[in-house]
Amino acid sequence: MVLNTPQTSIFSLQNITVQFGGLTAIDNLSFEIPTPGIYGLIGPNGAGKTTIFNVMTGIYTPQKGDVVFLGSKVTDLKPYLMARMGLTRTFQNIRLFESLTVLENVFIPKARLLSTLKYLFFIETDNYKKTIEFCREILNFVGLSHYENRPASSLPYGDQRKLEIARALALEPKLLLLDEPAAGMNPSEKKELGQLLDKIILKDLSILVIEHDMRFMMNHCPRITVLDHGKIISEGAPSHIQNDPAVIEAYLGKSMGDLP
Amino acid sequence: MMFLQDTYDYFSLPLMLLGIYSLMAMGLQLILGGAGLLSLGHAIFFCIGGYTSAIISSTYLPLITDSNLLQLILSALCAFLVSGFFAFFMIIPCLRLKENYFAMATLALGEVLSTVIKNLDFTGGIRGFKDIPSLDINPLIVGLIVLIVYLVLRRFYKSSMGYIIRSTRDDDIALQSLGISHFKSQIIAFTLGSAIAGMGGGFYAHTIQFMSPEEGSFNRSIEILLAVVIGGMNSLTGSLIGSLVIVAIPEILRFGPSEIAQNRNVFFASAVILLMLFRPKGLIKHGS
Repeated sequence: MVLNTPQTSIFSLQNITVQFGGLTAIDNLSFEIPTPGIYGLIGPNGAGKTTIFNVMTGIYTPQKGDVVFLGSKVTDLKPYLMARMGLTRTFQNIRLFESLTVLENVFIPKARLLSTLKYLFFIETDNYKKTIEFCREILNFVGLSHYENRPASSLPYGDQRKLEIARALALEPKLLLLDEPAAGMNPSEKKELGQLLDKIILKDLSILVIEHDMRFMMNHCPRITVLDHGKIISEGAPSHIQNDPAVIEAYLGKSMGDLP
Repeated sequence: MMFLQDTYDYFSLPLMLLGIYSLMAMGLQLILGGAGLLSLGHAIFFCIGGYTSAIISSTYLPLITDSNLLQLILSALCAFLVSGFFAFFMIIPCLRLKENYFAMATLALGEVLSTVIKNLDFTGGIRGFKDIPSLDINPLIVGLIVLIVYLVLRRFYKSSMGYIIRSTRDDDIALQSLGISHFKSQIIAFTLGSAIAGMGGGFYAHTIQFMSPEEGSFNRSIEILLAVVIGGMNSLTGSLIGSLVIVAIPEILRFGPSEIAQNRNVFFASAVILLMLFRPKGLIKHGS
């Protein structure tokens, strides 16, 4: 890891290219998260959004280009090392530890820092209590305290999503990636999720959201990037995006009048 | 009094076997129910533990101490360490494979190691290892060890590594996104589980006073797997109950009418099938 950019930018992708066989999923793409805040990433199906997530979290290594996180080059870093640096994510299809309880799910990200042997021999149990307290606070923050001892799999869908976010927050990340957090939610659940995001952003971290629900994105992301065929076609505030002809073309196609 | 003595003599062997099977089953429970790794070569670590105890107790241990109890404890400890050592180096290449392929690799591992044991000189080769000292092993000691292992494992499941191992079984991709490598927890679970089986093997060597390469066969691995699954994969207590079922039922059937006693394997198999039909998740559903 070499320091090669000033600390100002939290995360950046520099000239990334990802190819699967002959298919170029991401084409010479540069993307930056300069300051804390909520950022949106949208684009039609197959635009390369999830591929970008996978590059960011270290699941894919790009053929070309660099990934820079907190001033360090992290292009070849394994996913779990990226997470230790403070970059974590939630998943499109919720991935909870289903046989563990709600509290235990939130406990896992902190478990790595606790000593197993000292616990086995009753030497050090205070840290465990402190960690559990910390996890309870997080559950309280997302509003799941009353489910503490229920198995994670027994929660309603919207709460499972919240739990996944709570679990990611327990890692105290610098950058949180949310992969379609509102997918499959009913309107009231979406509203609650939006409120939760507005609350999270007050903590000092950045959030990058992929989402298909445009109303949700327009309401919660002050800055949105639009992707199509592995390239950025537009970037800016929601009002700018909504009126950009390139975006309209990517989603709806050309108008009949423009066809040759 | 004679009757009591006879009863004790009769029951001490099945009781010790029950304890040994319980140790193996708890080890496999940690691997299968804990980390979610299907090991089909579990018995080979039992076998390695057995040979370790056999060799060390008939050569070096008598030089160290005269006390049978101390020798037994040292022998079990060595069995634990040596089989854990083997498991540690065997699991690393196997973990490059996933799920069913991993299971196949452990199956092959068991067969390969068993063949190696058959062809070595100091293990006695195909004839097996004879005249292992019994070191006054009795059901009480075995039972005590089972209890200790049970309590330690229960506490282990509540420790940070215990939780990480259980979350590995549920979702290793999510685990990586939280800064934890699933390899470490899988290696720890497999090594510890196999080492416990090895300790069981050590006690077995002193109980039967004979080890052969067949002890590590695929059949025994499946028997233990059966105990864990019957008891309930996710429960440590379940594997104790599962061991009780697989040791006790054939033993009880022995007392039945001669038609049953002679065909007890058939009845045992039917009983297992019925159990799995009515309690597909095992006798104990939830637990640590």
